[in-house]
Amino acid sequence: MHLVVTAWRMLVHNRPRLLLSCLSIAFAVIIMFMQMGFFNGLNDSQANLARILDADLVMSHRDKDNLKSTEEFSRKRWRQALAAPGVESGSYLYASASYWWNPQDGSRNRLLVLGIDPDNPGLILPGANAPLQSLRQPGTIFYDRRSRKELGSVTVGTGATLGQTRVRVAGLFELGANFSYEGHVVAGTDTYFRIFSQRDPQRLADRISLGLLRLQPGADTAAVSRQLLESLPGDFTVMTRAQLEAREKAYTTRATPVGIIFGLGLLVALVIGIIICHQLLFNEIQDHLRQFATLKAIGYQARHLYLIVTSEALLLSVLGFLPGLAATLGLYWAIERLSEIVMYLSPGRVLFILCLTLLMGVASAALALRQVIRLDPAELF
Amino acid sequence: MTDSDAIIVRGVTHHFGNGESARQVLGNICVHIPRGQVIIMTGPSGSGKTTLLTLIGALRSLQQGSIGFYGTELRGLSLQQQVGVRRNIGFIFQAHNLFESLTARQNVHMALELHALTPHEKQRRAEQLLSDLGLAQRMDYLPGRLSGGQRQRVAIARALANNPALILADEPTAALDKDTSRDVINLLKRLAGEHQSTVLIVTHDNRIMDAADRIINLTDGVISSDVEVKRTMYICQFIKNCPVFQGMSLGDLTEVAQHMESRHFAAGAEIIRQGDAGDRFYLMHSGAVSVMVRRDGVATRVAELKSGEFFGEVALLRDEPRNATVTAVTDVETFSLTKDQFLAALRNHKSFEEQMAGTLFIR
Repeated sequence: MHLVVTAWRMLVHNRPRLLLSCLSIAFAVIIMFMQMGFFNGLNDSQANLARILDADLVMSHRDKDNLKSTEEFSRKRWRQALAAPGVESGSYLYASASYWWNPQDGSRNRLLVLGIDPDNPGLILPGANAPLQSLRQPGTIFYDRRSRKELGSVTVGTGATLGQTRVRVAGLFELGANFSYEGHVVAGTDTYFRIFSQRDPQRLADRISLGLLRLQPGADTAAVSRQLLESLPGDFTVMTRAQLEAREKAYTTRATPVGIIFGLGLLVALVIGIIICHQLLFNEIQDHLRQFATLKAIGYQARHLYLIVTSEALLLSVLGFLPGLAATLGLYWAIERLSEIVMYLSPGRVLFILCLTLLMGVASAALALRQVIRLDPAELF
Repeated sequence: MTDSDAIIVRGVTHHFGNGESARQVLGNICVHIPRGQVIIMTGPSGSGKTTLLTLIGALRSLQQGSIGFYGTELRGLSLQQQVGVRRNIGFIFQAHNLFESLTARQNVHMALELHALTPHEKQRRAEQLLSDLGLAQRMDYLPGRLSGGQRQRVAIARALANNPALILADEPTAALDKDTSRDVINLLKRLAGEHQSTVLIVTHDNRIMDAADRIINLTDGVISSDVEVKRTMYICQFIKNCPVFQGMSLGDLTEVAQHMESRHFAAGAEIIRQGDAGDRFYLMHSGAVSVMVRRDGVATRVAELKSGEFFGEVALLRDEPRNATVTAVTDVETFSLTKDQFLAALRNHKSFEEQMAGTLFIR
């Protein structure tokens, strides 16, 4: 224990250097937080749709491997599922991409139009400022306030063109943009059919993106899913909302290079951190060569000295982590503001980076091990 | 090894480098260091004294020869075992090597932490040592706020912290002024005495030589002189007043004194016997002896010698057998020179030679 205290005293003795060291480590911590933040942000954004579904089980086309793809299946199948034992109620969701014309400058952006039954929406829209029933009024939509800025300044009452249809914004909600779409709007089925009126109306009405099922209280979700898959033709698949969300996140990581890009980014940040931290330790040992050698002469062993160095590394890591975390909170806030990518910091994620930071400390101390072992007290004379 | 020996160095030879480039720094060093002795080891740089210090301090592994450290053989110890030995040694370096970030008290604590003491004991011991060294008012100062002498005293407190059996000091006064050097050495001596520690100091500093019980001089890796300072000074004082050494310079006296060996004889003991080959010269320190000459079967007592008188020189000078028998009347202390040393002294010192030549006619 006294070795840890000694390490602490050695660190705080030289305040300007300590400050500089902490900032260097904070720098590495910030880079790690950023890499993780972007990675999670993209995954979170990509999975945002799954989170707002009001359902115990979600039906989708068998080949639909993520919610942004366009595979659709027949509403008939959903209706059949409603009759299955254990299922209490359900709703359905149309989804299709369309173009949004910026009401201010007329520029065009791709967004996802969700079609719902206003009386049985199957969605819980976060931050909605009006009841979804108001979508019964044809030609009205709810607009995702956190769509990208390029879509223009939109508020309740704004009129805009969606595809070739004029719509009016009846309410706002907060979902957030993602890789695939610059934003989202929610429309009632009537409005939805009007927006895509150039398609075959019969087919348009029949092909739904998702079938949402709510189960009777106490029903076994696994048993109901099995039952559905066995009793109905196999052109669809069914999963719980949690499974869907997990698949959405995994899909982004698997199907896009973000996992590799930011995973590597994180690794590079970690390596940079190790190098910085090792450099700090190297100087620290170099400045205390005589003191360390003296300790060795009077009977301390390499492992004692190593404990001092490791303690210094870990203390530095924690001291650097705190300002790093503080700066990260600020940067996350700024990035969310500027890019509308969700930069969400859960306690688990903070802990993850803290662990990486401590790992960084331990690894850099391990690199300094040779320096400590090589110290020869006989050279003091 | 006798109980009184702390360190016994036998036949230690050491090389630096390997193969062709190997350079011998120590050759066949043999030294016995009794407990409690304060030894100064000196010699030009490169003479190997520091290497010997690090060997005795278990900081280096022995290549050849052996060193007994309070009964433990250092030859062939594992690094781990060397660490164990070092915990019984207090090290003082030329630079104080204190942690700048730790107070005087905390620096001393670093040495105490290795030993099984309660926190209270450690606390008390650190305070006691620092007070003994006159740093009671400076215990919570960082080294940066202490003077050079104070820092070195903190380093000494650290070295003494675990009651070391041996204190090894390397140029402990190199960075200090004259008065501070004296203070530091006196403190070191006093504390070493109180703690029964043996002290080995490597230094060039002539200002502190007189603090030593013994001065060992190393030149080119061999011991060129090994002087027990106190004894030599004592013998010098004594022989200065003996008629036979009259007129000899102090330097010459010192050299003779260095070679003199104390010999004790109980009352009645025969010190030399008529007819034996002559091998030693004796100077009476205390007690009385009688000189008997046996001629034609009749023993005649020719003289009684007392403190300050000498005998045994004739056989050495003439290279003849002893011409008389000398017997201790009381318990006798003598200082004695071997034949070689006696003859060498004679050759080197004109006045001594004259004195001795005179004796041949008297006896």
